[in-house]
Amino acid sequence: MGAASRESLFVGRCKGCLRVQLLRKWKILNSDEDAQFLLKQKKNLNDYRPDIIHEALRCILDSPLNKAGMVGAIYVKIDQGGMFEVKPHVQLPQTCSRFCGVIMDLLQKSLVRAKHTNEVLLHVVEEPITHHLPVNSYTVVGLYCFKLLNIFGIIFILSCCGF
Amino acid sequence: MKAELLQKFSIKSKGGHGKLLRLIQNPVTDHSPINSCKVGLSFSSQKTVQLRDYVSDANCNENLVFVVGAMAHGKIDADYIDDLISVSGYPLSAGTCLRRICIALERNLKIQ
Repeated sequence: MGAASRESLFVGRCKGCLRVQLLRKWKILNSDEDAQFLLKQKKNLNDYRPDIIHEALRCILDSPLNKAGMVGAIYVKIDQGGMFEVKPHVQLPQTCSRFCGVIMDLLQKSLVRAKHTNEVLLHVVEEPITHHLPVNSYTVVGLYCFKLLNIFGIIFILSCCGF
Repeated sequence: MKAELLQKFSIKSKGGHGKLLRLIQNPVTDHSPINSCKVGLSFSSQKTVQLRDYVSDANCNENLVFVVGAMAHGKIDADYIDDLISVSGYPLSAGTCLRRICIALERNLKIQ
């Protein structure tokens, strides 16, 4: 995922006259919506696919393995540096645009809390990944497409108590 | 593309080699195979099966038709369903359920 500064228009009405205010805010770049912006910057469109990350996370979180409590943690590495952890009991938004909004919130504030219980659901962790793995862990890298994703890989750790 | 399908009743391929998506008439039973066993899937069903065993126990000359609901809430209300099964102890999303059906069929057909 790439975060870039982008302008959006906000039109408001003030005492009968039309006013245009330019807002500048950060956004997760998407190869569908931001194709013109990316092509203008000479970027590769295939490198900006947050929908693949969203689909992969939903595949893990919706599985009965996760519902049975056997997923310990999910880590997502970001191409521009950094990594964040997803708690297994999180309920991600079902649509990609809202998911990008949550990730944008995460990247700006370093953590995303639940609304009522104030529990940390997603938070940015330090690299390298080996600091967060269990001691006697066996690491299998199954999602590592360098060019396909702007995320290097997803590593999810199974809880040891189930085996 | 879905809006175009509903407007033009079909989606054609770019090279002109036939239609990819087509609107068909109700009821859906008109389009089922003749000798078919229609299986509905619901979390609330009393009959919990192992999907791999269920698929292998089915008749070889019987076509399997799976009816999967798209929403996470509610129940399938269709009178053409012959059997209603539950494939997991947890409520599954439609995508997860369809993945499980595909994996069970792949293993039954020895597809690597």
